[in-house]
Amino acid sequence: MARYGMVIDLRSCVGCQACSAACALENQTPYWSDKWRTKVLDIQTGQYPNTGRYFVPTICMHCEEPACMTVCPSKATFKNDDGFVLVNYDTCLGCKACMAACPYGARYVYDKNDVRQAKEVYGEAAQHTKVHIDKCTFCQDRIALGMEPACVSTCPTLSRMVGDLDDPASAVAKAVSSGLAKPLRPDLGTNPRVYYIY
Amino acid sequence: MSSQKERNVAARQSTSSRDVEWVPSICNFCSTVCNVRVGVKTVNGKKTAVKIEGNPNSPLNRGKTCARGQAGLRQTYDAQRLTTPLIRVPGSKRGEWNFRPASWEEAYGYVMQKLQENQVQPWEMSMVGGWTSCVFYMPLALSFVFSTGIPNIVASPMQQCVAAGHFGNDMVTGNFNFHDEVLADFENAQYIIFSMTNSGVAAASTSRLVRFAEAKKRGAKVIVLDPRLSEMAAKADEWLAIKPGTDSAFFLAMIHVMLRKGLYEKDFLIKHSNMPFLAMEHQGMVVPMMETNEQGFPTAFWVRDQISGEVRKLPGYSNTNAVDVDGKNIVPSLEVPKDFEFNGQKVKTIFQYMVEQSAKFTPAWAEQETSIPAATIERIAVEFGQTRPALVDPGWHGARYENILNTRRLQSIVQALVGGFDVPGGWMMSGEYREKLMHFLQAMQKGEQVPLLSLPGLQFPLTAAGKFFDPREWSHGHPSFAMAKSMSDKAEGKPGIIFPAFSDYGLDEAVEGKLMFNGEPYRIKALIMNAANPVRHFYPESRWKKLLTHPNMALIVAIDIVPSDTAAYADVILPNQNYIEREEPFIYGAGPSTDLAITTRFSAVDPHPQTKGTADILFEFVIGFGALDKFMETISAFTGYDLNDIKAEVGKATKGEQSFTKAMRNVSFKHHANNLKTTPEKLEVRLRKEGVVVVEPKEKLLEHAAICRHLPVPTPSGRIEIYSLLLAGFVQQQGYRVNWDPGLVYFPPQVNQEKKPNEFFFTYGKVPTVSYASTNSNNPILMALSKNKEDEFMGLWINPQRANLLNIKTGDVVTLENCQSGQKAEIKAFVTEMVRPDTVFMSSSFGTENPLLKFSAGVGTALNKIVPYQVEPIVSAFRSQEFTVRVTK
Repeated sequence: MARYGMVIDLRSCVGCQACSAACALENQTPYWSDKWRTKVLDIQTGQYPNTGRYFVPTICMHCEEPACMTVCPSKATFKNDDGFVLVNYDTCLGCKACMAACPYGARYVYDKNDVRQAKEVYGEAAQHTKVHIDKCTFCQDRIALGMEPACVSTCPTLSRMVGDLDDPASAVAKAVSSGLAKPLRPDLGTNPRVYYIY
Repeated sequence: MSSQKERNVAARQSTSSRDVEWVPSICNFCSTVCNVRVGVKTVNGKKTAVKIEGNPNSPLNRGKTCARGQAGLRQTYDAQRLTTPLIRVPGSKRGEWNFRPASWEEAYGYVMQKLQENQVQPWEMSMVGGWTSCVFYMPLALSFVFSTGIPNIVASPMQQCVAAGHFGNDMVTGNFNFHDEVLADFENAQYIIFSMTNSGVAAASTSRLVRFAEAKKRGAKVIVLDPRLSEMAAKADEWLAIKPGTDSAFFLAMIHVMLRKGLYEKDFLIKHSNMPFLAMEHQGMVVPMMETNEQGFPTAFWVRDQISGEVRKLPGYSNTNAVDVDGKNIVPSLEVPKDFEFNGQKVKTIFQYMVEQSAKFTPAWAEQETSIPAATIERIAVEFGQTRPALVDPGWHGARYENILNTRRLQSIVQALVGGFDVPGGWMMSGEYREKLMHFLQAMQKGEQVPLLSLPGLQFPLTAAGKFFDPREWSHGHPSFAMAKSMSDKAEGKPGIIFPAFSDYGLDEAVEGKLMFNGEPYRIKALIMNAANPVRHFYPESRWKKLLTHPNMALIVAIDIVPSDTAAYADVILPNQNYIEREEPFIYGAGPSTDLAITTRFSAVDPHPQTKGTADILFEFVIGFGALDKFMETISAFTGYDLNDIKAEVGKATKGEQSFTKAMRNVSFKHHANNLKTTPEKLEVRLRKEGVVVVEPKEKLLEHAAICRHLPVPTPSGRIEIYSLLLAGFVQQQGYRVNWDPGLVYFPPQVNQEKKPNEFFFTYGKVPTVSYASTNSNNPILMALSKNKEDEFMGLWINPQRANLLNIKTGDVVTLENCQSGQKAEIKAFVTEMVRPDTVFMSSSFGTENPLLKFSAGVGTALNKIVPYQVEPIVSAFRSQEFTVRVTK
């Protein structure tokens, strides 16, 4: 079984937000409430003329040791066979314990208003019909269809790569094993599957 | 391992792309024309577009698409879509949204009645086109005006962008493409310089981003000249916050250094440029020694052969200087000895004159102009000159300053110095351009005529626009109003505009009845607008609001998809199919793709029943004007399509058996199938499956159809023109003016340099989540993403050094006042270290007004509230940053 991981290359990201748009359309996330599964931070540092500007896409890290999962009282958060951290929308209580536990801020509430809006916008094709805590699924549905996640597939700057971390020949495994790509906050022991080149 | 129950849960969590059918299309959200595929499935019993992806077969965008491309499908489902023809309710004023639904017959009847009532003559009408008219309907739009006798097309984004930007580059390389231009080969370049561009790459042109990304990953060095830290500048190894409008000084200093240090491709300049041509001084001007034919085209040049030391004659039009008119191989000299004489004249080479002309443009001089340290300029010139492949991005945006055409021309000259055309890591010409060039050369040898739309590069706009300027081309003897205005300027001793192609120059006077031509008023009484939004996209908005509401304006027709700010000023609105719904009337070349490729759109979802494609609307107008036969003949003459095929297919359409769009599509498929030695049916199957068909890949084309190496370019001489013969022609026609100096020249931006603390240079630019150049602003997802970055995207960027002095904080509403024109606008401040202290910046494309645009109306500030009407004299490009602004809280 493949151990999927993602490498995000900050060297080429221009902050165009194609990933956010693709994700919103693919997963019907509530853009109307400014809630996104993946966002691109626009970080500005320094003083003119030594100013820096950095674009940093954020997303669920699909941790090997997900803090969000261990705290879930209803066991709605689980890892599937591919290791993607998912939420069972039917059993999620919406208690937000996972949101407090996640060190990466990767979760948000898909609330009553969002469910109503989703029905208005998407009609019978609405994917989200219940209040729940929402997060990235690594587009596991697309992965199952042999496609890349929507954010990876569309990225105009090829800043996102996806592949099998256990396959030494894969681009992501090479980036990780060479030390080029590094996880965020490895000190937390969450063991993320998303790595960054910066 | 997860449990069976968990597996079931996961399986239920579907994405939009599950079970969709992918239909190939072309994105319509910017002029990059990315190949996309639209995912459709049945929702609520209706075929619905649910997802867009880049087309993986695309040689342009390589399966990728930006936020605009992703979000574009929501336009189809805009709650305010125009779904039926609308006629203004009598008594209501233009600008008010007060229309009644009508049938198409009523709408056409209303138009014809108004034209008759007001005795509108053909030249008293103007088309107003947005970029889709240009990219997708050029054959129909041009044939429409020439068959109906309407000598006027006002088109955006010509004055706003294309005219000056492209023309500047193209004078050197001969290129021109009515998609967009050169696709620079970032992915193989080692050193890349960007100037005055953000939209062209980082914000965001996907076909360029996919290539630029490779450069970044590979570690190519990137230099960005920009007064602010744009998305593009954020990716630079060196961000040079240049003083606005002085980029040409930077490039002149680079040329100064590179010519003096020998940092150029000598062999390339000798063989493929006009640098070795002998020239002399005449009345203070450098003039090449040449012979010309009756039309003024060169028939011979002279060079000094290094080997024999003799002066040899070269053909007037050729790709190479290595063979003289007698077929002998020669090696022209870049320099001739001092006091060298030819035919009793003291002559030097163009190269020597360029060295002389660049003498004063030292890095120290450029530091004074640009505020970039001389040592930095010198170092970058040396690094650039010593690195291969080195690349200056061609740039995307013209306009802004009177000197922009010169700036883009100088960028091309720097690129020429490193021989960077049609080589890895250089500027790559499009497959379409090369194909047209090859056909043109073959036709020239056989003495045959080439259809207008097959003319290569610069010859197309020169010929096409030339027809609008020549009264003899029109049976009624009227040129375009813009040319009439220019002629009347000259009669009054004013400079006028040399080449007011698709320009609005003089439109206000024509509407007011003040423009005179041949002793009579040249009036404009009616406008037919297609996918155009001049109230937002032209400068300033007050000019257009005034002329649209002028009592002399008898009729305004708007063809559009959503109720734009301009549509509110129409008398008749004709609802258009959008790009996801419609089939295209033609097969197209794949934009600036370096592979020779063809593509088209397929209808992904059913159009609203009362909407029509533009092709159908134009045909129906033509029938109304009684010009159908002429229209078909003109289409055939311009495109090379078989006239009998056109008549047969259009005949079926007139009987109601098919749409006119379908008729033209059938003709186009047959034409291309013939060229490709296949059948229309097979071609259709293949295009439907793949979206894009590569006819000949770049690698093959470069083996036999590279410009310079194999093909002359469509400059007057066929060479890369460092000294511009086109500009020299302007000097001959019009007398000297610094704007059309054919050599190396600098003229600074005309802005107040002695500014008070609350007075700033003004700059504007694009963001990656707004669709410019179209009427696509009302997109809920793009608006959500833009609001997410409200400060950066909608704010007025102001440096804290000045903001603190003026007590301005982020979020404060400030008044922006144009110090020259007095125009005022309110905007929220964004206090940031990302901009020069003497400069403010704002994004364009926000601030729409029509309240029907639920998501975008009232969001942000419109650029054209602050930009005045001022144009430069070559192509009437807008000098849209050539002023200072006062900022007050």
